[in-house]
Formats: sequence, structure tokens, C-alpha cells
Amino acid sequence: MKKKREKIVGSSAVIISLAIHLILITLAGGIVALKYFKKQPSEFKIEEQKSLERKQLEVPIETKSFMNQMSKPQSQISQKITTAAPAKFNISEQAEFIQMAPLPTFQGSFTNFNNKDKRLIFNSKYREIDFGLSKVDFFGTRTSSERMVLIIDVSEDMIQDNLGGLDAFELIYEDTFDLISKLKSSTLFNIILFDQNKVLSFEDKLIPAIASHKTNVLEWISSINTNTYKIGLNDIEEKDSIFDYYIPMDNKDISVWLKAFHIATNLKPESIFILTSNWGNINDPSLANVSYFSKNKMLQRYIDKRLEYLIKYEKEKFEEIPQEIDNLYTISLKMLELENQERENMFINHKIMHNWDDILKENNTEIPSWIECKAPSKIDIFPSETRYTFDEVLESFFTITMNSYKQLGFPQINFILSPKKRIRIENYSDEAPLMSSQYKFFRLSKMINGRIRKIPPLNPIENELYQNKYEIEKLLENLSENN
Amino acid sequence: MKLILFLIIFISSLVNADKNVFTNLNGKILIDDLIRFKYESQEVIFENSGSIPLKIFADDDKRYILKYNEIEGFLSSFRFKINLEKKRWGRIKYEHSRTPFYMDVFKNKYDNLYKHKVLLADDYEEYDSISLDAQGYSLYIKNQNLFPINNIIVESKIIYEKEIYNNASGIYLGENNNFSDVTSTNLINYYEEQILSLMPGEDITIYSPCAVLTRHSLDREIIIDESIFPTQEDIIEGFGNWDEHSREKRDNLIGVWFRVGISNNNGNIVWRNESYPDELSENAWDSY
Repeated sequence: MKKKREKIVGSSAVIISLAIHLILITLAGGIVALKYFKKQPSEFKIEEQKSLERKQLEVPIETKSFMNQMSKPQSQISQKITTAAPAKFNISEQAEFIQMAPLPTFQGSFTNFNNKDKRLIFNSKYREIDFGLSKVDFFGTRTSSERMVLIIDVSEDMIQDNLGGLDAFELIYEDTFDLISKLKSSTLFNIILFDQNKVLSFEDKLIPAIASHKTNVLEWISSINTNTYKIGLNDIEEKDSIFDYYIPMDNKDISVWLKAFHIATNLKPESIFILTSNWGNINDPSLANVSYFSKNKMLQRYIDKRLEYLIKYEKEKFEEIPQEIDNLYTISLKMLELENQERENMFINHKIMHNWDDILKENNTEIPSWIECKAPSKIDIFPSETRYTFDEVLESFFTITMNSYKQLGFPQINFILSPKKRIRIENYSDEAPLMSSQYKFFRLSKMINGRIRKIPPLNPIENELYQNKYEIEKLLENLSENN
Repeated sequence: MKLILFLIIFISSLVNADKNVFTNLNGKILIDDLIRFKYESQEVIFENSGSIPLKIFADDDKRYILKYNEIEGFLSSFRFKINLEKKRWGRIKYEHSRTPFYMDVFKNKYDNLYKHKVLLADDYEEYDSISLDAQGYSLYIKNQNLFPINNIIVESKIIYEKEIYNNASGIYLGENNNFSDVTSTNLINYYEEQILSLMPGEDITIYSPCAVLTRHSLDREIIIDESIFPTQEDIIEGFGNWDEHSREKRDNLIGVWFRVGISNNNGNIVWRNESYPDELSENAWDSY
């Protein structure tokens, strides 16, 4: 009886469960049916018998047919061609110029189109087409290029008296004039000038060498370094280089030719000419032309710490020498004033010097050597921490180049060096390699299959006056007594 | 439990994003699931309704169907081919032996220039070697569909491990760090490119960003017989133990990740990933 009762209870539970399931299924089916109650048989409902308009299928996304663009190059006559060239320059027209519509920059169908069209022959991996190829010669370095950038150092270092003064830049201008005026109108070019941390490019992009551009560029350059009162890029604001990849050098320490080179690589020219006299931003012509890139913040910290060291450990010497230096500085200023007066009388440019003591050395005046740091380990920072090694600069240079050019590899890089003459050998050592600008540029050029050429130096400008330290001292004393 | 299951099924049925309501040019409605689009015959295949010519659909639906087809064509590994290839873009190597030196730098009062004093460590020699290797990957894309694929975005990341010396390359040793100490860090270079359109049968090669891998070593040794000649260790105060003056560092490539995408009908980008090694793309894109 109990079992039967259990069976009845069990069977009624099954029935209830089935009933609940049925209700749930019906509810779900009902909801689905409610959701799709409008669902019709899989046919279109004919509501109105209108004739179907035969519309053209619209392209889903609004894009212009690229192939059509390619087959119809948009050309436009340059407006600038009508502007009269200033009388100063006489640049012959290479051909009638038609400014082509910009070629597509992405490597899409155009690239592939070219690859398949065997009628177009590519001589260089950088060139889009060959008709803009110009043969150029810059200070004896010859190359053929369709896209080129000239990087020119316009700093005071290029026009020191011992390098020939302002005449040295006149030579640079003449060779630049010669190169630019011979460019074909279809060659793309740009010029970048630099002066220490300041960099200025004529345009932000490569421009065709049409007559108006040539005239404007040459006029621009001809206004630089024309007198001793305004040398280099004084009015230009310094801007730091920006990198979106790692380089061993701090972006604030990227300067001189390397900073200009970074800007040039963004334009991806086929060949780059770099005209400079220095490797790095720190140069000491008195010491085998030692030149390197400094870690500027660290260098300043080291100089401050070194001074603290001298005050602490070399107090006697530190108190003696500054007085002597002050006297010599006053003498050097007077010497320079007299020298420039004489030059004005002779209609010669004023003296341009590396350092204030140049004129003293040239007039055989003894200058006290600065106090040596005998226990460098007592300073928190070592001098080696204030500069980048050649390897670090090399890695930065290589990284900058390869991040711009990628699969194209290295462009043709031509270094033109304006060599410096040492003023006086103080502690020169030939055995300390990798210190001079020339050595570093030669090593780099060899590694990247670049080319290097030295400009024959001009004769140094001799002083018009020979001045004696003691005579100047007397003169200064007389002047102070009279006052 | 069953109620929860039912609710999940019910909600998922409501939020199903696939379009299944289509309209023709006269405003008539078709409710059916789109299976595929035959580009050759310009016919749309539906689950229940079978084949319907594209031209009779309303303009918005035509656009939807063509975009649906473009996505299908883009996602097909057979019809839209993507191949990854490793490349070495440039390499320079340099080595030399020289006498190590200590160069002090200072500036006198009134000086424009920094002046230097060099002390050569004549009893020693250092061998310096550096190799710079620019590596990158190329991604070959070929559209084998019968229709163009438009507005393709290609993003790429190259990931590499960089070793950086903790100390400058002087002849003195730091007190806190060893001369050979290096810090290792992972670097990522990113690049994005857009392809306006890839025509049927057209191919294109896209390049990843560049990774410059450096291998550097510096070996210093004493070149005199210490038993006969005194070393400069006694001459220069603070001169470190020369045995600890050698060091080496080497960068490693971790991998590259390309993702190619086009936007779908909802405005979201549908991506196809290609990486080396393959496991790299198993992580989230933003994890690198």
C-alpha cells in the first residue's frame, strides 16, 4: 500500500514536472511567436504594384577608383613660374615646367602597377621615376640623384679667422650655387642649415628644383654669414628632436649635423650631403681637434662638482689663478678692439675667434694652465659620464636612419669636411684615437659605404697688428689714470 | 536553474546583432538569414528564400550586403592572403683596439669652449666591438577576391629586448655598480598604415617598424708584464680593478605582430592577426 502510494506520488511528480515543462515550452514558443508574429512566408509581400526602378548599384564605401586616378594624372601649371627672378641670379630654365600632381605616398596599387609594368625601369630603390635625375658635384663629390638634401653647417666654427674667415663661407655659397643652378627642374631637393642646436630647413618637404625655388633658396643662403655682426642662425628658436623609438642618446642631446640629419631622413632623400667641420657639439681645437657629443645636463653637473672639488682640495691655486685670468681677459678685449679698429681702416672683416684667449696666444702671451683634478674619484661624477661614446652615437645614427628608410637601407651619404687647424698643441696625443672629428667621420663613412672629402683650407687671416701684452697693460693703465 | 537558462537563451535571441530584415526598392520586407553573396552573378543567398538578385534591394541593404561580402572575402585566408617574412634591412659592424684614456673636461672663467686634458693608460689596451643589425618583417597581402577590399588598416608592432649599460665607459669604476652591469628592458616600435583599396588580384607588401639590435663588447687587458713594470693602478688614484673592466651586452628580437583590419557593418574593425612567433598574437594587442 505504501509502495503503491509512493508510486502514485512518484508518477504524479513526473506528471507535474512534465506539465511545468510543457508550460515553459509553450511560454517560450509563445514569446518567439509573438516576437516574429509578423513573419511571413519567405516571399516579398506585394503591397503596391510599382515598377521597379533600375538603379545603379552604389559603391558601398565612398572611395574614388584608384586606377582611374592613375590613368588621369592631374597636372597643374605652377603659378610661381611667372614670377620674375631677381636680377641677382641668372638661372637658366632647364625645361618647360609642369608641376605634377603629387604621387601617391602609400605603397598600394600604384607600386604594384609599376612593378608589373616592365616598360618602367627602376635604377634605384629610392626613385619613383627616373626623369628627375640630376648629376651633381658638391666640392668634388659627384653623384646622380633624383631626391637630395644638402645639410650645411653655418655656425661660427666654419668661418673662424684660421679657416679663412667669411671668405670660407663665400666658397661654400659658390659651390652650393653651382650645384643648385644645375639641377633639373624635376629633381626634388631641400637645404637644411644648422648652427649648434638650431636647425632650419628651407621647406618641410622636398621641393622641385624649378627656377623660382632655386632663386629663393639661393637668395636665402646668400643672406647668411655675410658680416661678422650676424653669424649663424641667431634668430632661430631651438627645438628638440622628437623620436617615437629608442635611441641611446637623449633627444635633448641630439645636436649639430645629427639633428639636421634626423630632419633630412624624414624626407627620405636618395642622397644627402653633409658639410661641417665638427663631429659633436663639444670641440676643443687646442687638443687634436677633439670633438664629441656631450650629455649636456651631466656635463653641467660635472663642471659644478669639479669646481666644488677645486675649492675644497686646491684652494691656494684656485684663489691665485682667477685674478691672473681676469687681467688677461681685459688685455684680450683691448687687443681685439685695436685689431678690429685696424681692420676697419683696411676695410677688412672683424676678427672671428674660437675663444677669448685666441688673440693672446696669437700674440705669444702665456696663459696659465687650469688647475688639474688630481683625484677624479673624489668627484661624484666621472668625466666619461658627461659624453657619449662613438658607439652610442653610431647606434643613434644607425637607428635614426633605419627607422626612416627601413627596407630601403642606407641612402648615399656624402660628408664634406672643412678641416680645422689647431691653434696650439697643448697636450696633443696621436695615440688617443677616436677623438678627432676627422677620424670619427672617416670611420663612420667607411662603415656605411659613404663618401668623404675634405675641403682644402683657405689661408688663415693674419692679424693686422702685432701686440705686446706689456704695452697693452701700460695702455690700459694710462687710460684708467686719465679717467 | 532552468529558468535562468531560458532567460539567457531568450535575451541572446533578442540581442542578436545579425541583420535578417531586408527591404527591396519598393519598400517590401523580407525576413530571412543572409548566408552568402555570389559576386559573379550578383545574387544574394538566403537561408529560406534562396537566391535573390542584389539589384532589387534597397540602397542601404545593397550596401549592407556588399559590406557583408567584403568582410567574408577579407576573412577568407584563401581569397585574402597574408604572408609574413623576416628581413634584415641593414647591418654595420665595427671593431678596433686602442689605448684607453681618461679625459678631463673643464671650463676656465670667460671661456666659450670646454677644454680637455687627456691621460692615456699606456699599459693597457681595449678591444671594442659593436654590431648593429636592423631587423624588420614584411607582410605580403594579396587580394584574390573578385571584388576590391577597401580602407584596410595595417598595424604592426615589433618587440625586442634592449640591454643598456648601467655605467658610462670610463676607466674608473663606479662604487655602487659593476662595470658589466646591464639593465634589460622590452621595447616596442609601432607603425600604422592605411591602404585605400586593394583591387582584385592586386598585391602589396607592408613593412613593420624597425628593431635595431645591438651587440657590443669591450675587453680590456694589461699589455705589460706586471711583475717587471709597475701598473698605472698605482699612478691614477681611484683606478679600478682592471679585471672588472670588460663588459658585453646583446639585444634580442622577441617578435612581430601585424594586424590587418577593415570595418564591418556595425562600424567595428574586424581584425586578422599574423605574428611571429604565433603565440604572440594569443595575448591581447594592448598587452604589448
